[in-house]
Amino acid sequence: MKRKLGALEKVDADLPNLQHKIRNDPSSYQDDFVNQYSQYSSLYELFLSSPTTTDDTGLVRLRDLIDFVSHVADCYPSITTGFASDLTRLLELHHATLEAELRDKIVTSLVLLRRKEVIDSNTLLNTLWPLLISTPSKSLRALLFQKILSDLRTSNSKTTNHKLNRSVQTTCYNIIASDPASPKGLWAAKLTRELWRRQVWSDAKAVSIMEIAALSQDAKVVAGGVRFFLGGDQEREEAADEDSDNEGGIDMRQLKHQAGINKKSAKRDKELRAAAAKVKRNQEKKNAPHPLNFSALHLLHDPQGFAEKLFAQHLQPSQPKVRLNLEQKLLVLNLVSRLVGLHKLTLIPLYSYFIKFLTPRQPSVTGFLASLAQASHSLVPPDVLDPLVQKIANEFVSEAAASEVASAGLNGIREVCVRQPLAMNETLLQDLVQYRKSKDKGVQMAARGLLSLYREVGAEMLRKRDRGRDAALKLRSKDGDGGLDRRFGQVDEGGIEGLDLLEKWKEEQGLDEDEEEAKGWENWDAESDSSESGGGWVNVE
Amino acid sequence: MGSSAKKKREKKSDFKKTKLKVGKARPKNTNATDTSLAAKSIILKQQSLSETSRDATALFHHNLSLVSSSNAKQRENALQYLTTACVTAGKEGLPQSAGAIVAKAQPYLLDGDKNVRQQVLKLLKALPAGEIGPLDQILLYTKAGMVHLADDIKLFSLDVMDWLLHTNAEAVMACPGGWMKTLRTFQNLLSWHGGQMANGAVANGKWSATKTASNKLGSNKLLVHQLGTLANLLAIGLTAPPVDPLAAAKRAAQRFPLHQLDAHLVSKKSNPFAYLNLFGAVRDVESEVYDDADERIAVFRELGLLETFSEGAREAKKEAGEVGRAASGVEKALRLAEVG
Repeated sequence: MKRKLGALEKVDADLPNLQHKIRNDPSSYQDDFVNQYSQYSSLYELFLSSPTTTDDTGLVRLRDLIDFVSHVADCYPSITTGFASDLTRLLELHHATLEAELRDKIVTSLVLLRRKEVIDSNTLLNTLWPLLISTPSKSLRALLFQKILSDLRTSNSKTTNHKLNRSVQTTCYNIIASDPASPKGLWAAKLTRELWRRQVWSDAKAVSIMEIAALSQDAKVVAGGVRFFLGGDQEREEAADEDSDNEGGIDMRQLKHQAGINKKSAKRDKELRAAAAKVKRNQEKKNAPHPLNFSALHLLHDPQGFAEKLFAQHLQPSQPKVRLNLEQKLLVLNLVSRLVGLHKLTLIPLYSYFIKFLTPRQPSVTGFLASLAQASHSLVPPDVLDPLVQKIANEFVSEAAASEVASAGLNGIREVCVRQPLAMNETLLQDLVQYRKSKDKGVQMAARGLLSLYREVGAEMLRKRDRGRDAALKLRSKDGDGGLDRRFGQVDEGGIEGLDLLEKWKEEQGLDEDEEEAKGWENWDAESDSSESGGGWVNVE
Repeated sequence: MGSSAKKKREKKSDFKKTKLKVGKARPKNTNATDTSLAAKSIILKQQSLSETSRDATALFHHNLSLVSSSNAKQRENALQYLTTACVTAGKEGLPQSAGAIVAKAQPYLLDGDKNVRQQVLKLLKALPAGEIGPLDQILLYTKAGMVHLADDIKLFSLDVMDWLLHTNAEAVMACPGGWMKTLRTFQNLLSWHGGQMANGAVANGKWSATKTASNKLGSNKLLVHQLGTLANLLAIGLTAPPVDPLAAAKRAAQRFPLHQLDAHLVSKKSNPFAYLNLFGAVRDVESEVYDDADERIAVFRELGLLETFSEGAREAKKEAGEVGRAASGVEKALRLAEVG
């Protein structure tokens, strides 16, 4: 808010001018500074006792004085020793009642003092963080969050400041863990997500913070935690991409052409050279090796337990502790199924949960179908998935249903069967494959997809004429085998590639295998022999 | 002309059926009408058109709120009205207590406009002295004014200080920090730090000149006033009130069966145990309350202020004229501290 400067102010209280002079020559303006500082102290005491006083009366405002002192505080460290603690005290006691501008000014002054290394990061964060959690003012919260974030980023810019990171991470963890039902944990979750996005915190501890955020009892915190796991890496890539795109678009050829046409001057020369350097820097950045970053899902410390807890807490009970709306439930379900699919976990109650939701009239049913597909993998028992496939087939895929519905159903079934082919039985399969004759393109393609999948995987379930040429040939050749050579849970034997080549090489070398082995066993106790035959007992004292 | 591609497209879109999206809500049909309504009304501010003028209390409150207006002239008028109202209040008393009026008016002791400041002082003088209540805040504002950067405000706040000492000296001493902090303020103002600041110091290899005490030629009015007020403060602070040995005996005789009645009566003033500072923050030496003159003398000497002040007064006395006379007044007051 601009104010008209009175005449007196321009002469006696011209703080910016004085600031500039002090920067150039601190010792000669010490008296002036002491005057200003004593003025600040007396106004400060006033505010300490009655914080609701308006700041705007009179010529000199407290906020201008605070601004001035914080800018030159590092020139007079002996006089301003108590300055930072004064400010923290004022904030702690009266942050709710102070005027907005004064309060914001105090916060920015504290950050400035941190920048000038008058106070350290820990003190600053210990002041700002409790304020962030407890203040009722929206604008102050936004300001504090931004300042905390930028402070953490600058502390980590040159090298990772492990100590600071650890302490802040512990604070965040404790906030969420100590009171799961409070909405204050949202700030810890927000901070962690933002720092993960910027790749400042990319370790397992940050992931554990988001883990308990997802298991907390406040809807917003849960949503924040789950979103982190679902979209974390995507956000990171987007952030990296947008950073690089900003610098793009320098066309060196065009610039050189312009330089040739325009008037030559030192300034234009400098600009051209700067543009060339920028392009070179971008190239180097692109070619630099990407720092190793594990996805959040891989850094989880106990995925089976986490998935179980998530499911048990948020989805399974009919009266969960946290009321989630459909969209949030879908998010949680998506996360659980992704975990199950990624780590091949076993979570049997999950599949019966789906049955209720697989109807065409269910809002966001395609999301449910996608989660189901994610959650199925080769170690899921087929009799668990069977009723699900039946339900989808009954509800979605029929002549009466709209063609989009039918194609959605067929695609869903195909996705499940890709991951667990044993979930299907013969009659159903043969029935579904008939749909490839339907008039609608979508349904046709979906049915054909199912057919080609089973031609590859389990052709003997199909009718003879649907099997196709390659599959039929294979079946006839491996006659005793039975086409569906996968039983549930069967896993290929592992082996080292090229082991037989080693044998071949040994033969070529003319070495006899058996002799080779015997020689290898000869001196196995050689060391112990020599020590006994050496001297007598060696006294080690 | 032949039908253009655009026309063909438009005709086709009339008959197109929107594709069903599985699991999403059906889109609203194009002939749906929105029947929600919001009532609007125009509100005019009411102006009171009554013929009788407002009564005194209403006017008083109105003016009290006008004190915080942004127009300097309006502030001055409002304060003037309040002053006359207080003077003519008589026995009915004021619509607001004196404490509330003071709380409203005291920030304007530091106001930029000269007339406003003068009016505030007149208002404070017009209020009945006993009812103003604790003087902490006024004292803080006065001290802030004394170290203010504008000379006008400095001069003015010395006037306020004089008035405070004249009317309410005991109350001033009873404020936390009333004695020591005020002395410190004076010390900083006059730069009597006892030889810590050497002239022409060489620091960091750069020579820089320090300012001397007398800034401008011929404008020593401020310095004279400061020394005068300081002398006043010291005189009041370091003298013990005259003790009347017979008064206590007389009072005891009057109430013969009862003994030490004053200690057992319920106190008439509010917050009688404020001096114990039971629930407040810990106070350091400077912000303690020093009720007794002996205590004040003791603290004065303890912190070495006696020497620094004497030296400063001696230096000031060397400059002849008004300044010298004022300085000798200070010296006289300091002599009270040397005794005993």
